[in-house]
Amino acid sequence: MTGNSTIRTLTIIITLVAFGAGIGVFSARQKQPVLAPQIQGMLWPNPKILQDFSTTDQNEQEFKLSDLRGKWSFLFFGYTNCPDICPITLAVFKDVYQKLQEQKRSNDVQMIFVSVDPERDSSQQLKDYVAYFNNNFIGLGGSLEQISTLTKQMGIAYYHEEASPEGDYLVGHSASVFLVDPEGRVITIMSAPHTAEEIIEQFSEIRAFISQQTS
Amino acid sequence: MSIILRILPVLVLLSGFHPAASADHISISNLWISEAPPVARVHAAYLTITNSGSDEIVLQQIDSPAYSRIEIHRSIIVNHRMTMEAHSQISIFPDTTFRFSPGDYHLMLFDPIKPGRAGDKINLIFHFKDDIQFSVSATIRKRENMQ
Ligand SMILES: [Cu+2]
Repeated sequence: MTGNSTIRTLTIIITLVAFGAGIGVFSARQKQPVLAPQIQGMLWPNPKILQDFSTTDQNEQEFKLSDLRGKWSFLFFGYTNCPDICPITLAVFKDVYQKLQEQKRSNDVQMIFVSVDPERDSSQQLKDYVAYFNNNFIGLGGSLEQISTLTKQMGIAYYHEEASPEGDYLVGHSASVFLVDPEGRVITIMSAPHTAEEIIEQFSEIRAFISQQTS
Repeated sequence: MSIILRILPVLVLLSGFHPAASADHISISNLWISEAPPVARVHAAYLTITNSGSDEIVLQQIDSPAYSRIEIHRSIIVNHRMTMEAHSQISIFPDTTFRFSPGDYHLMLFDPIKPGRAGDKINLIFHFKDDIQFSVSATIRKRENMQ
C-alpha cells in the first residue's frame, strides 16, 4: 500500500517537473526571435499590407503600389495651401534625405508628399512645390477618388472645412509620417512633432530589424 | 527683502527692452516670414509680442501691402489630425509675452503679390485695440530644421 502510494507520488512529481521544464523550453523558444525595436507607432508584428492604388505623380504619370516596391518610402499627407505644419514637415524630410544622401543611404529611399487637396493641387503645382524642398521628392495627386484609393487603406482621415467668403478653405489632415517598407507594408506611423535626427535613428533601427526578419 | 525680490523682475522687464517696434508698453520682436515654395499661395509669419504695461492689450488685425489679407491662426493636432483654427483677436495680459512660433500660433498670409526670397523685407501693420497701430518690417527667412 505505502509502496504504491510512494510510486504514485513520485510519478506525479516527475510529471510536474517534466511539464515545468517543457514550459521553460517553450518560453525560451518564444524569446529567440529578435524583438521589434521599441519605437512608438511601430506596427510590427502586424504591419499594414497595402493593396494596389492609383494616384498621379508630379509628372502626370500614374503612381501605384508597384512604385513603392523595392524602396523605403516616407509619406506625408498635406496640401500646398498649408503654410505651417506642411512646410515644417517637408523641411524635416529635406534634412532627412540630405543626411541619408551624405551617408550614401538614400538610393532606396523616397520621400513622398501626398495631396489631400488634389482639386487645388495640380500636378504642376505639386511639382514646383516639392522641388522647392528637393528635386527628388515625389508629389502625388490626381482626383479625390484616386487619392482615396491610398488614404483609405492607410486610415488617413481628412476633411475639407467650410470655405471663407474669399473662397479659401482649410483641410484637416494627418500630421503623422508613414514609413512603408520595400514590400509595400506600412511598418511605422511616426507622430508629430518630427525631427530629422529622430526619424533617421528610428529608420536605421527599423531597417536593421526588418532585414533580420527576412534573411 | 522679500518685497524687493518681488519687485525686481518687474523692474527688469520694464527697463531691459529695446524693441523693434513699440507703443510704450507694446513691443513686437523676432518678426519673420518663412520662405515658401514660389507656388505657395499662403505664407506664415512668426513673432513675439510683449505687453509690459499694466493693462491687457488686444491684437485685432494685421495687414500688409504685400498680401491680400492676414489671419491669426493656430495649428492644432486633434486625434492625430492637424488643422488650423482661426482667432479673431489675441489678448495679452499685463507683463506677459506671447509667442507665435512654428507648429503653433502663426500669422497666415494670403495671396503674396510676389513669392519673396530669403533676405527680403516686408512691412506688416499691426492694429491693436484703442487705435494703437504700428508698422514692423519682417524679414523672410528659410526654415531651419523644426522651424
Ligand atoms: Cu494657418
